[in-house]
Amino acid sequence: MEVKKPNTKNLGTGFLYFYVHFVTELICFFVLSSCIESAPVAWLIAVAYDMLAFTPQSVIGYVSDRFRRIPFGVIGLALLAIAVTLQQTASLTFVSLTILCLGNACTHVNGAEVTLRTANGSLSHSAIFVAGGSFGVISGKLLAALPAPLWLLLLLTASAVPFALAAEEYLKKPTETDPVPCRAFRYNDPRRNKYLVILLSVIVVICRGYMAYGIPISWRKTTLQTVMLFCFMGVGKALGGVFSDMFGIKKTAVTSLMLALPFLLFGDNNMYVSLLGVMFFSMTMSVTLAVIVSVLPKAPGLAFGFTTIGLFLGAAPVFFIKVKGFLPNCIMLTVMTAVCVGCMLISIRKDERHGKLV
Amino acid sequence: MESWFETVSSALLHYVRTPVFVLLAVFAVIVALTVAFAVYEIKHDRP
Repeated sequence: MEVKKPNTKNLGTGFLYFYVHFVTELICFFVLSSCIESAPVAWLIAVAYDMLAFTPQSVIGYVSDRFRRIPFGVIGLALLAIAVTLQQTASLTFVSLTILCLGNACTHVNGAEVTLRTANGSLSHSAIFVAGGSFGVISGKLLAALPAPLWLLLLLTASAVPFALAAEEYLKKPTETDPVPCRAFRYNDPRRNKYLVILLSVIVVICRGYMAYGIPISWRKTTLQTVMLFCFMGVGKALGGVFSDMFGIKKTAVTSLMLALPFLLFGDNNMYVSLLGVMFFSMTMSVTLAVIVSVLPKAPGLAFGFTTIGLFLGAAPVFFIKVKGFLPNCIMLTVMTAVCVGCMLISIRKDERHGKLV
Repeated sequence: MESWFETVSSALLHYVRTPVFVLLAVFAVIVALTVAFAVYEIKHDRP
């Protein structure tokens, strides 16, 4: 099996935005957890948050693609600081949540722009960026249970600013002026219609989003176990990009999904088996992004927005329709895995070896 | 006695004012814009 040396050029953008993403999700889930605690309609707040944070990223992403000079990263962090201040001092729940969601969207979009534009076709950069979110989510939820002072939250937000600014340095010429910044992403099957490729990739994201809520995890009882769950999720997301670069995107995507299924099905009462399944399951996150970017190489921000819309569409039904029971969940996981594998087999081109397709 | 038309209209008007409908409307606009941008980019994607 061919093992390629991974492209580590500009990998710093991935690590820099890992931290920015970590801080973003930490602040967001701190505020969200605090708001949901005191709200009479908690489910509505959660749905509103998901919608306002995820879906506008496509439009913001497209604006970012067209107007590169707008510093969405710094703007996003500033909005997060405003949101957390409003929520902590004035208890303006809905106003602070709206500003929070916009800040979240801006930092996500900029992270995607920077990591995709500097990756030269590699998936590791964006995968490492995306992985930061899982660690941020669990940290935010844990911090919300403590009496965290406002100054600490503002300090955390401010600490991410130099990271965001440092990442921008990697975007200096020639990537800044290239009219097709992601031309090296060529992972879509050229025989397939581009609209079909986007649709199939979004279907994979939707399925994965819904499946995440159906994974049987009866073993999850303590805070430490919850922390481990989110850590394995984050590690899986990062490894998905690294393995795709080393072994091939199609191989990694299909193998990881098929490997995840038995571990997820049989890991209901076994934490270690289940964590492996969650890790494999998370590996496809960067793959779907890379495929959509391959179809929209001039608009990586817009491409990223398609994945976030898919994430919302996958998560939203959970608030209204939830498959209950071990057996129905297993059937659901199996069917959706088959759908995802089929979609990826159709939309992703064959992996290359020695510069030739295999 | 209220006609079926009046019943349906008042139900719809009531629903339009709910937060869920507002969210759905915003979502629909965003998705429409996203698809439009993608179509534009693909149509203007020259080799």
